[in-house]
Amino acid sequence: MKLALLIEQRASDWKALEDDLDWVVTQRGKRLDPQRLSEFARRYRAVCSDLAQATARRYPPGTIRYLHQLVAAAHAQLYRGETFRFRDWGQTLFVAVPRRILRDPCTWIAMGLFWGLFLGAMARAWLDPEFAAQVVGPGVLANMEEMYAEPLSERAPDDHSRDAMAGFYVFNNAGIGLRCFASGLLLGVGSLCVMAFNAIMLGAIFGHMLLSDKSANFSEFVTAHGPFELTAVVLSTAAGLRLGWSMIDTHGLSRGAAFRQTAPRALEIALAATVLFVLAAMIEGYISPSALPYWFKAGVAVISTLLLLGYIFVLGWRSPGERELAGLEVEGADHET
Amino acid sequence: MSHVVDLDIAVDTTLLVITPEHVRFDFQLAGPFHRLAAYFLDVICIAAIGFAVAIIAGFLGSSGIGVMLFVWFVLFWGYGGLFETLWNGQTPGKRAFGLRVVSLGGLTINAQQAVLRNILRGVDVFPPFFPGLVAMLCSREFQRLGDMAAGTMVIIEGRLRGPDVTWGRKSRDDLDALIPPNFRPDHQLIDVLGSYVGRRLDFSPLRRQDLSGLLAKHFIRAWSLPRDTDTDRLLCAMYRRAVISQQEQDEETEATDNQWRFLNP
Repeated sequence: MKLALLIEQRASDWKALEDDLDWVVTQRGKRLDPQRLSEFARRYRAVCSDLAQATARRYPPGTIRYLHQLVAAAHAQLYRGETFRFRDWGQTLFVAVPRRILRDPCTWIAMGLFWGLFLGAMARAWLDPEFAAQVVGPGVLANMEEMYAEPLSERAPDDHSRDAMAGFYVFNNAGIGLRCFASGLLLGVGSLCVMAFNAIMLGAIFGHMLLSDKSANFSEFVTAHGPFELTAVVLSTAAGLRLGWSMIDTHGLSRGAAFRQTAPRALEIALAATVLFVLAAMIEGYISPSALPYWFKAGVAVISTLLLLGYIFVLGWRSPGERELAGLEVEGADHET
Repeated sequence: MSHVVDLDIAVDTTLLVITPEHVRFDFQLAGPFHRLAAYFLDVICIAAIGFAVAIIAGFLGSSGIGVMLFVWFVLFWGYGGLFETLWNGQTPGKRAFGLRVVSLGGLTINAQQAVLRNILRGVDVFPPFFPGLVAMLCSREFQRLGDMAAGTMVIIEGRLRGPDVTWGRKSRDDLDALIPPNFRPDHQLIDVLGSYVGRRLDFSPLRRQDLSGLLAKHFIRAWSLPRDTDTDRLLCAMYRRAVISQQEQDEETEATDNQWRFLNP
């Protein structure tokens, strides 16, 4: 048979596959008509064989290029990865992530370093009144003192400026958390730097403010959102450290493979930290500055601490159920060889 | 599943993938310059959307500022991840320049990969070292660090162009008769002829004469054709003869040929 005729004959099938591709892409996530789907698979196999034949028989280059593109596009749709499913995300957030947080030494290293630096800076600021001004700058301290000059019950802000503050805390704090995670790429050093910087700044401010005569107003403000926010910083750092450490201790894999295997798992921890940052921002925006009595704010802090402990220790401690053993990966990279 | 073959002989920017159907196809990888252009367009998009949100928020007072900052957070960190999830590996910038993010095996990416590679972008464009650029130059698939983490690469997709069937339509030419019946070109010659015929319309007529002359003059001498033979048309006729007559001859060995094709991908 003449080649030109052959191509023209097959061209209608190729066109049909192009239409199928449009159909599959636009119907993404919905149930697909099985009849048409099997037609699509059949056409794809036929075009694969066309491409093989075209290469072996020296079809015109334009046709070969076209077939390459067509096969690539159809292949990508036929063998595509799993799409977005909320159920899996819940499973990840409430089963896999707490287990990983609990078993990952990075969590406890990050926590130890953060609290060590934070309390150290606080103690130093307590003992040496000059220290806070040297670290943070006198302007910031004056600002802080002015902010907490009046009791919260007297200067309770209107609802609108609370919205603005909540938005700002999401933008700023959750942004810092993600940056902290991402800079873990630099062998974990970046995460440590971001974390250390924030721990020392916070510690110095805390030490200074607790010394001042406005300490009651200050501690009333920071109590409610403290547990979520500080834990979120620790978890972001832990995720960054895990990312960086995977390139150092590879457990027998190549560096690239170890990195690729660990990165998605570290990301999940960083996203859990982002959720905590958003929760903290809501509390910081709406509850912390409000005129609510102190026992209520303290109650929020106690409940959020209990929630965090429950999340990490109770959910994290559970032994893997059958579902998880059946395929859902729950083990950290350090448990695999 | 399909896998990628790392051929030592591959020196250009294509990547060979073998499908479960034992067919090889290749991807055109996107280098730093393609991607930089798309990235700039995306940065402009982000700035434009951020600006628009700020203007709208301005009318809503301080509540609006809160909403604006929240949208900014989602925009700065989620723009790439959201678009690449919803648009199957493309952002507006990538779509404009015909690029797409795919997994290393050539499959579409999932939400996790899209989010991961975009959250790590900040480190890739960290001045003054630009670790992403260094990583791209060291990586065979032009991966920046975010791509390495997510196991993705960026390909040049281009638009699907229809199969090129025009060359066969004009299938008769008086030059066909001048080619000796025993003309049996080898594969190399057919490839050269094929590339020429496939691309000849990209050249001006004079340039076409120039290029075709280089090869055709040997055959004009060998077959003692008239000196003023149109070299462009001669190569077309030779290609037609080579491909079509070879096709007829191959019909007989079709059965064995089929086997060979599928056992040796």
